[in-house]
Amino acid sequence: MADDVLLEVSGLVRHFTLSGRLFEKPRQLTAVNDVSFSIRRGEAFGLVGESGSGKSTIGRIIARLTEPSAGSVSFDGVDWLALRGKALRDKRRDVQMVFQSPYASLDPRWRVRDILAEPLKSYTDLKGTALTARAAELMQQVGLNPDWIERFPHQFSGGQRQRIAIARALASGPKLLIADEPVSALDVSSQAQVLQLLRNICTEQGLAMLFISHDLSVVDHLCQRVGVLNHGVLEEVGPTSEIFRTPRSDYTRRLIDAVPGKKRRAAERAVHA
Amino acid sequence: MTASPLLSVRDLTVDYPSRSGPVRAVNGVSFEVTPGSVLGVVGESGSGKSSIGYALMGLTDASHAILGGAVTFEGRDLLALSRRDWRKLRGNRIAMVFQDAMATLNPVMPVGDQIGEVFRFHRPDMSRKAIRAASLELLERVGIQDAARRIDAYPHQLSGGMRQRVVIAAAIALKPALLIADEPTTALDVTVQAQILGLMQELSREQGMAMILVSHDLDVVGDVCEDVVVMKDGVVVEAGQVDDVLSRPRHAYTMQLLNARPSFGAGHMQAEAAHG
Amino acid sequence: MTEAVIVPAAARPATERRFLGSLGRSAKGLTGLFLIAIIVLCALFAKSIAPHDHAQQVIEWRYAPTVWQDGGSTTNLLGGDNMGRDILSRTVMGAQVSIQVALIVVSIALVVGSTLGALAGYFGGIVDTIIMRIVDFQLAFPFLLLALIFMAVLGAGFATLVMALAFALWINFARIVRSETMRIRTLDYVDAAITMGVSQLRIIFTHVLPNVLPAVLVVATLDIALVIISEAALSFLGLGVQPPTASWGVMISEGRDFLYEQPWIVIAPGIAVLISSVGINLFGDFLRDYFDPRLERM
Repeated sequence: MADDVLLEVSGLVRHFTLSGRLFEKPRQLTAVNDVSFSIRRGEAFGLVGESGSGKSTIGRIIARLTEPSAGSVSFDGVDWLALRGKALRDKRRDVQMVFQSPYASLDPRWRVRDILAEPLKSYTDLKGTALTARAAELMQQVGLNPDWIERFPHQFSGGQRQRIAIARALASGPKLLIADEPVSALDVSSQAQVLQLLRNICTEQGLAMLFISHDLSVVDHLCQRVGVLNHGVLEEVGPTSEIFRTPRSDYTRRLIDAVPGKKRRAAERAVHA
Repeated sequence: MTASPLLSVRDLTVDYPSRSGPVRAVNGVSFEVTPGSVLGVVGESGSGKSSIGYALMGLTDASHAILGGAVTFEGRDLLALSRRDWRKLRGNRIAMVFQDAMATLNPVMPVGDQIGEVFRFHRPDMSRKAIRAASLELLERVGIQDAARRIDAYPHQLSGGMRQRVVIAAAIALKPALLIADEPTTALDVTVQAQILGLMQELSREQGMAMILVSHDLDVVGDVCEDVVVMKDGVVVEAGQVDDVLSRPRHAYTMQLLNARPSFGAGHMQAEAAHG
Repeated sequence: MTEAVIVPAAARPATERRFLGSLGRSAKGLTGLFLIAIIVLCALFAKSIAPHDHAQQVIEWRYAPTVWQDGGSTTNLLGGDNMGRDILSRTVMGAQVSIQVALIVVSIALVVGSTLGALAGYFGGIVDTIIMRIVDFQLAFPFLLLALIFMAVLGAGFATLVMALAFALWINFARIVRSETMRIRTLDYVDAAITMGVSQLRIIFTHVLPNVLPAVLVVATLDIALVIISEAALSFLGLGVQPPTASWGVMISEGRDFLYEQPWIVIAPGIAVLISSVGINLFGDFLRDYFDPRLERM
């Protein structure tokens, strides 16, 4: 069972200092407050919470884009937060990220080939035509036409761009994918397709995923286990079906009550019955 | 059916000029809103749903849009209104709430004064004291706690949910017959969204105010509205009572929209099926 | 490093068409380009355009009237100066000096200023503080005083002029590149590159600087106009290009004592300074209009 754990987060704390107004003492804000959870190999773990809950900060700490104030992270048996410099750059290949907005996460001046080549150059010896071939393969993997590799991001729809971002995250062959609200910037119909893609890829490649979202329905649909965050505190962790069906925390209950679509669910139940 | 419609839209078209000729954003849309009813207009980006809202508020001048068809509101032809008449009608009989409350509110004016502006413009005979009292009452009405203190707050000092409440307060100030809400909760957290939607429904019931809720979210529309119009590429693909459309969607696109959003709780069912 | 060069070049066809299209529709851009073209052509083909050698002194040409004045002749279209030199030829030659100084100065300021600005904006903290304090310090210093110090230490001349001007202008680039870098630094594609193990320096060169380029180009054009005017001003004060080299500043400086005898010694280079600065400013404005909406659209 212990070998099964890929990521172990314990006692994570992150303070932010808000520089107050003139002559005011700077205030401290605790964005993440003593958060612990673990993710098993190949598991999709959902982190839900509202804005300001600290869910994105946790993702960024695990992606080593932000340093925590306290706590430890062990990834694949490695003291993840102790990695520095070259060793960190090498290990980053194991943890890749898909950002919320595919409009901001792809450099508008780069062609798709160069976007996909960026991680390949860091982590493989591929060059020239072999590099281009691998990039085309990645395009195919995320359901895009490999011939479009010479295009620029603005020539794609939002959903297609997010597919490119996913392809880029897969390029280094990661063990954990961090997806921070990966569909909330997309239109409803492309949301479903991108979620399906993420789900399929994780299953096929045995990839673990930290899925950060405010959307309970999506997390319910996608993740085996879930953690509920409220103002930096992890209210509860457990199997998704358990947490969402029999929530122990008041906050989780309030979240569940707020999920829109009551009428639709009633209609669906009536049809199924 | 028996009640005469408050708003009737017939074959509405909206064309935006562009370098390569006019682009038709709304193409022959028709629907009716009876007094006090709640209609949902659902569609994805580019479906033309927001253009309808702008057209119904007479806010298409800036984009030089060309309107066609017929729009009748309380027996008046809205498409023939002069700018002057629009100013008298807007905020008075028809009001609008937008997605981005921060962009709707003036950042350098206390929120109370912004609600007061509606009265100053449409009720010039009201005294300053009466205006302030009415603004305070409205803030309390939309559920802003400690309204007496917050009336002098600036927009940035309030949370997103409270800002949207302020916008709603200004919109309902003159008890309009119709409130058009364009993605009013899209920028908000789920719990806040539920509160704001609840507030809007309550206000609609209490004041007999009709609403048009423009949204991309079929779940939200399903919870709040009685009737729904589903739009795609400027055309209505399906219209009817919410319950019918949700349980028996006839058009493939409506089905696609419904299937695109996993239903909350469906995951448990799957899990149960797998374990059972 | 290579991508930084390859990618914009590969992007050219579509971008170029759009650029030319919007240039064709812009009266501002076309007028600016036309005025710049006049000056650049004069600079490139100074020897062929100038009717005479700019240094040639002919006794009969002293204070020769312009062609439209009484006694004027086509030999000296804009007349002759106090030393019997052809004013038109000297003005045309002056373009060469001005453009040379402008290009050298702006190139140095651009490279130094952009690099320091990018470092300050990207790394922030102590690096930012040090670089920006130098900028502040320099902003507090009057430009002329700065130039005088350079002259005093190094002696007047072309090289000193270039150094003084470059030293004055690099802060313009440093400031714009710093603020743009700080903006781009927070964008997700930079974070994405970090998670893909790309080194900081490489990120600056491949993601940050290419995206800062539009803003830098606008500053560069506007600074060229500034350099041309400043060169004239410094040379006028005797701190810049030294006579007998025909710089516009030198000409105005020399001619001010002979305004009564032949005002065109001053008017001709004055018009030249005006044409080039108006032209470059118009074109710079067009560039800003062109780049700004595009940046927003992205």
